Amino acid sequence: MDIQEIFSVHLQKLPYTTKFEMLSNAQAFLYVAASVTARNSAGLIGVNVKIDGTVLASSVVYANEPGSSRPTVAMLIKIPNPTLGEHELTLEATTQITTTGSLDYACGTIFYQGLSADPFIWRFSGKVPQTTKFKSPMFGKAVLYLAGSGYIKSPQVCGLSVTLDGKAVAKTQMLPGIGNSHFAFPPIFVPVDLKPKEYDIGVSTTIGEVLSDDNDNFEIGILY
Amino acid sequence: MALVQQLLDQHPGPLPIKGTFQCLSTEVFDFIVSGVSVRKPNTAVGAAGVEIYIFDKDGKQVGYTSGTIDGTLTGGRRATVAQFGQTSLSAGETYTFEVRPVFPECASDEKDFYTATIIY
Repeated sequence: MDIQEIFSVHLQKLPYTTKFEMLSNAQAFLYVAASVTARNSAGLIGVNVKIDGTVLASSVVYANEPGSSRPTVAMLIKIPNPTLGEHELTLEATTQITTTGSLDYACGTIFYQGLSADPFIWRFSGKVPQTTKFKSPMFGKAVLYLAGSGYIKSPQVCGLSVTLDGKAVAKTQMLPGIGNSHFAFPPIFVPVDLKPKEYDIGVSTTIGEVLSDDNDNFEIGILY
Repeated sequence: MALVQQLLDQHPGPLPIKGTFQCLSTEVFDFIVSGVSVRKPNTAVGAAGVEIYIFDKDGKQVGYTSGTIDGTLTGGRRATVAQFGQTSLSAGETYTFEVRPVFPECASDEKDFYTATIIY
């Protein structure tokens, strides 16, 4: 898989714009991770990700504490109709309460999929557990991506896990600092062994105390 | 089929964490470390984060990347904004890696978990 780092910045203001060169016409996916700060009230904060002026996705998280920096739920975004040559990427504030503090950051990486089959990308918000199906076209290792957010009444180690046909294949865990406050789990890229078949894929929490609502977002990807 | 290699799978802290791996390809590869970070109590306000170094058999640094975040103690641990690093090494050779806090002021303990992955 060809991978291209396109930016890594101390995100001192929004919008942030940078130029980058697409290295191939192959189908491509953009990984964007960022942190932003809630200006003066609680609510969703995040960045809209634009390429050549078109918003492709929004990487957001719910911020319960105004003035506090929060990592957003990092995303894998399909780049439509990739073409060789120079393009422009912009990160802009998703909501009016989104701002940048002195210690916010962002980075972006492109994954070129070449002639491989279409990746599976599953994006949803709301409660977990949730399940869906995907059809693996291949035998062997793929890259599984997991990101999401949630909250918990009393801070304790907690996490998200991904299951394939009911078997846990990946998890991300952390100890959140504040009870009843939304937070993004660390996003992970991990190997997963697949066969050419249809799978039931599920996302759940590692302990029952983790909660999520319509302000929480989840991103699961499988890159072949 | 992806060529992917996991260096750490939800490995608990504290940092540093050291390990070895055998490189699977001579092609350029990308690698990432994800986890959480926060600054220790009674330290200056600033960034926190996690970094990974790759060393060859002679101890020379041949790869590096990191993830950073606002380390303000209020709010506790936060997931780092993890960026990929890129390098190329020799297939079949054994290398060492070390995951560290980006600053000595960063805290980590057994309730922190780190994942590090190479994608060729």
